[in-house]
Amino acid sequence: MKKSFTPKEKQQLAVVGALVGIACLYGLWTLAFIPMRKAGSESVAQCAEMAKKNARAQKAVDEIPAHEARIQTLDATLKHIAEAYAIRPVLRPILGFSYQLGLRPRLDPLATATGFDVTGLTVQDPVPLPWNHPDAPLSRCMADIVGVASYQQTRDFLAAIEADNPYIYVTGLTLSANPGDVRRHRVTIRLECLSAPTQITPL
Amino acid sequence: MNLRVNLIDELECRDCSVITARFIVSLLGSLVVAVILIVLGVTFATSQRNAAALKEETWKWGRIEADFKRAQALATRRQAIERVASDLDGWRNARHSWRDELTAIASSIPENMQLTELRMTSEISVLPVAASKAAPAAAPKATPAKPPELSASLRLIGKTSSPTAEADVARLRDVFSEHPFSNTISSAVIPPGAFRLDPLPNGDSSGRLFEILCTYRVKILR
Repeated sequence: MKKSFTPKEKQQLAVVGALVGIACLYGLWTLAFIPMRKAGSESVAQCAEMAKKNARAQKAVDEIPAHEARIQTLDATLKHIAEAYAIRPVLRPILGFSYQLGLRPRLDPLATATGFDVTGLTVQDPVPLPWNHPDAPLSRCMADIVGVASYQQTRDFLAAIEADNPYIYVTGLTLSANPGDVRRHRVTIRLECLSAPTQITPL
Repeated sequence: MNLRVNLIDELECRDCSVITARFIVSLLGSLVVAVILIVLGVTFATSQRNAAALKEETWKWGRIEADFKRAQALATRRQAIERVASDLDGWRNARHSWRDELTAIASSIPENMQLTELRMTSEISVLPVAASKAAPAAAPKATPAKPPELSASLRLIGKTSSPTAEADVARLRDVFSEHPFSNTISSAVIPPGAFRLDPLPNGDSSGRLFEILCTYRVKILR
């Protein structure tokens, strides 16, 4: 026979049922729903970050052909500058490399053509170019030219140097009276030249 | 007269209505369970979908990573080589044309003056690069170094025996503030004590020595 509950028992059963229900709900909420939501939102954030990273990477990858073309052009330009204008050291069997011997063949024809008598030429060891970068692909060396020439010849000599090589820089010039010959002055010229390291390696 | 006698106990009475308290409780309970199951199901599905999307993005990254590193290396290389090219351009463009300068100086000196010395000096000031070998990756983010500057000066030393020597020297100084010198020279001064009597014993009593110091505009090599 089915047991029938009194109203008080029914109330008690309802309260117990409600409490069990609330406990189950709380358990589901804390043990299942919240962890799943948390994991879900973390995945969304990570996914968004990864998507952004991938888009950035894709953009960078798309620029590879442009980088390669530009590098090729600049490499060719630098190679041309290094080959056409940079003062190259000349190998001497015993004393090593000499930038002085490299500069001399460039200057002598210009001096002869303009009547500038070069009486001395000294070239200091090159320093890296770009400025102060030890791994620079080029270098600059300073050269001091001492000579005797008239004002006009000096001017023509400087003009010839400047026209011959756009990367040679006149950083010092002294013209002083020559008691021995009033028409030809003592001239000191300091040049800064683009010079090549022993081995040209493209960047 | 009421002849109806109710012999059923009150607890055993049956309720014939369809909507009872028990029905409502069952319905509400079922609804709550259904809602809970739906919410959990949707959350689970969303979580699975997000995980799959993340997995896909990770897979994409794995595919593109090597190319991305190559692109970064190329960009760094391009930056370095562009810097070299830019430095060389700056070097070439900052040059003074000494042919024009010497021509202009020669035509500016009056006949009653004689230059005994012309001295031009220029200097390229380069700030040392604070290169840190330990952290090369941090280098591009570092503050860019100040570009090299080219400063130059021209000192003209001469003599004159003109009766109006002082005015003539002042006029010559002023020439360097005019065209074409004004394009390159920022100031021309006669230093204190530079206009003086010629100390040579055989010099004329009206002979004067003078100096004019011209400072060129600073050029930035970039």
